[in-house]
Amino acid sequence: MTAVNQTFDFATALANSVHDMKNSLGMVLGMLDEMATRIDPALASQLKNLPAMQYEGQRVNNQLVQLLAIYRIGEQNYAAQISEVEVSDFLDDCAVRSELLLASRGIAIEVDCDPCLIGFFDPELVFGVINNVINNAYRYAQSKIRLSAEMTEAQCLRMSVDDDGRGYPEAMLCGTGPQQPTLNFSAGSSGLGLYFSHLVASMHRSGARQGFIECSNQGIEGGGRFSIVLP
Amino acid sequence: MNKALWTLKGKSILVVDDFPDIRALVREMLKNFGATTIDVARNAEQCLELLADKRYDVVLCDYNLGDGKDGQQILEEARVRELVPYSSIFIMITAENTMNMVMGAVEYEPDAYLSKPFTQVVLESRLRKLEQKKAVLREISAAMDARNLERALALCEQSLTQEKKHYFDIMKLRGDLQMRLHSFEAARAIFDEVIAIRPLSWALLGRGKALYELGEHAEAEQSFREAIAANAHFVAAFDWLARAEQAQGRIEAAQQTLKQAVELSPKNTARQKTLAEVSLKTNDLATAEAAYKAVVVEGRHSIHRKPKDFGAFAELKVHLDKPQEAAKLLGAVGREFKHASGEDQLMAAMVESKIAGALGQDDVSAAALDRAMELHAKHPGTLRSEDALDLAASCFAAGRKEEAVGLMQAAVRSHHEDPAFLEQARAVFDQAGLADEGEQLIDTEHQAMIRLNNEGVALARDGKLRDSVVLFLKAAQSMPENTTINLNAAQSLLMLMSRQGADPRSLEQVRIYLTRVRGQAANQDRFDKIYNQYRQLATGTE
Repeated sequence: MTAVNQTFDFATALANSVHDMKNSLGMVLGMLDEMATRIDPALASQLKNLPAMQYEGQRVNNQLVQLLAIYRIGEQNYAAQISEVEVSDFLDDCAVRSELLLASRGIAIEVDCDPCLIGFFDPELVFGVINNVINNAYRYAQSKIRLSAEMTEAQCLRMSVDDDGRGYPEAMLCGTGPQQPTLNFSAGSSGLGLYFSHLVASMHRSGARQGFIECSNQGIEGGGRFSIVLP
Repeated sequence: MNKALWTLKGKSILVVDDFPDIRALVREMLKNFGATTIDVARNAEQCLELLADKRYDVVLCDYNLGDGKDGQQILEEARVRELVPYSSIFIMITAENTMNMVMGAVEYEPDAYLSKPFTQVVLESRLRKLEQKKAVLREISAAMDARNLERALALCEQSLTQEKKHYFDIMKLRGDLQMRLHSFEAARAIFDEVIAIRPLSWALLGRGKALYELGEHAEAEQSFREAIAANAHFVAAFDWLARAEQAQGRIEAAQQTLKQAVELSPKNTARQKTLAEVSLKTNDLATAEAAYKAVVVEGRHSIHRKPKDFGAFAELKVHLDKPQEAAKLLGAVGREFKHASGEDQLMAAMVESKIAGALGQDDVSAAALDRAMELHAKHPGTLRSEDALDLAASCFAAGRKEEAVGLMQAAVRSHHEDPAFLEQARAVFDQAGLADEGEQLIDTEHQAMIRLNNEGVALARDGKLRDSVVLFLKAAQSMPENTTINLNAAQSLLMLMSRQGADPRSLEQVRIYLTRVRGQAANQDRFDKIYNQYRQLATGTE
């Protein structure tokens, strides 16, 4: 046997393991959702940690999704699959998927989008980005998150997540253009999330144009605003 | 829109999943929306049985169903067999990480993909949106379900100006409809229009298909390559690329392309069959053997697995000096198609006779040929003319001349104006050492067909339209492959309708006749003329 001499491919092993973790976690999250929808009001007080469990689980899930996507992009077996997307339906879907969790903190989520707007992007990748931003906003928003979309003057699609929190710290503000944001992985998940968002945006190209992200404090009443701008 | 008003009450719903827990969970969710008629299936077989039996408004189908067919194969078969009307909603449920692999990579697309895990609100939101969309496209779907493609196309063009939101859905439909109507130039123009906005992979595939049909094989190949560049998992584009390569005589390249496609999606029986056939041409017998095995063994539940595949596989096994394995296939083919359609049973008996002959089992071969002839008598009209030549050749070889001549007569009559087919018929007579007799038979049948057509035309000219219709309808029933008969049957019915007014049943009849002969270049002008009359009547009729 030559097993000892084989090089152990740590990245592949990690990716496979992440994949497995994600599937297991997906099942746990599914069960938690199920529990949350049919909870007996009499028992609600005993399960007051349920939203926190969902939130933390979602956070782990998002990071696993991002890690896996970043690995696949690095291995070059993952390209953005651009399709035509009805943007208001897409944002509705994003909102609906986190509605319940946000409600547990008293945060309302709304969508502001022309129902006829059509975008061209990879819905699975961009869903990962938006979902991650909503999940961060869960921590910072006071009472409101707004998803919106519009066509820019340069005929790009801009999708934004606004909240009414205190806004991003100075170090995280970034934009406007395709340059890579300053990454600070010591900031934990926000660093990874930002890198993932940047990567996804830049995988969207049309002709010479490339997608990018922006973080500003032009959200609701000076709150945070994250935008992904796609050609 | 009031959320509380939305309900699934009165809708019939089918849930397909291999896990009982998930079936129960989805069912529970649907019940909360007021659904009362919910059927469940745990695998493809059950699902297809239910779909064949009953019309569902909503089908929720899991992509991954364990060992048998996957959700995509169910959808393909259901669409081919027209088990899911266009007005129904078909949702494919995928695991989060498989969505990208599945989505947009196939020719038969569901109305939506839904990634797991999903909650009740997510399902509700999705169903509501799809219902709205179906409502907008209701008239178009109804026309498609009634197979009135001309009307569907006219409705698409009308709604294009109003429906910004569904612009791409409608463009895709238009392109597909034009393809189905063999208006390849028009289809190409539609796909080009989409590509000018954005080179979406489905539009690149559509453009390539149109170019392929127009005979522009090199340009088609380029379009398929662009579609693959846009989506590396686009197996349908690989299939078409292989066809374009074959059409340009690059068989080896086609084989490589098909190998790639099979690697991406090994379960597709039709693709494995093509790979096997192409590999025989390139003399790559190992690949052919593996691909035929995939067809015959793993394709157990596929509509694409046919008795002839057993025959070709057995022939290969004999050639590879593996008679025992050929003998196993001989046993399998009868067993596997015992309860199949009349045509498949007949073909299976023919294949048995041939395999047994190749293995030197003359008694078995003769008995199978007996059975084939019995089945032919029992199921008249199921045997295609090309297969009839094959069966006739077997009969000649077995010294059953009378039966062989009977088969040849019917086949020649069905193709009396088709030079390529008549050439094949001559070859069969030659092989049997009956060249002169064959020539005589072809000539006699040809004359008989001319007399028959003239008689029908004369009846119409004399104002006896009804008699003319009866004559041609009867002839079209006994010779469904005969071009002139089909065209005359269509025309006589149209003449009758122009006098008495159009009715849906006669229109459907005309549609069937025209569909049989569409795309046969020799009759294009006449076809176009009759087809235009039909289109005018059909677009105005629901």
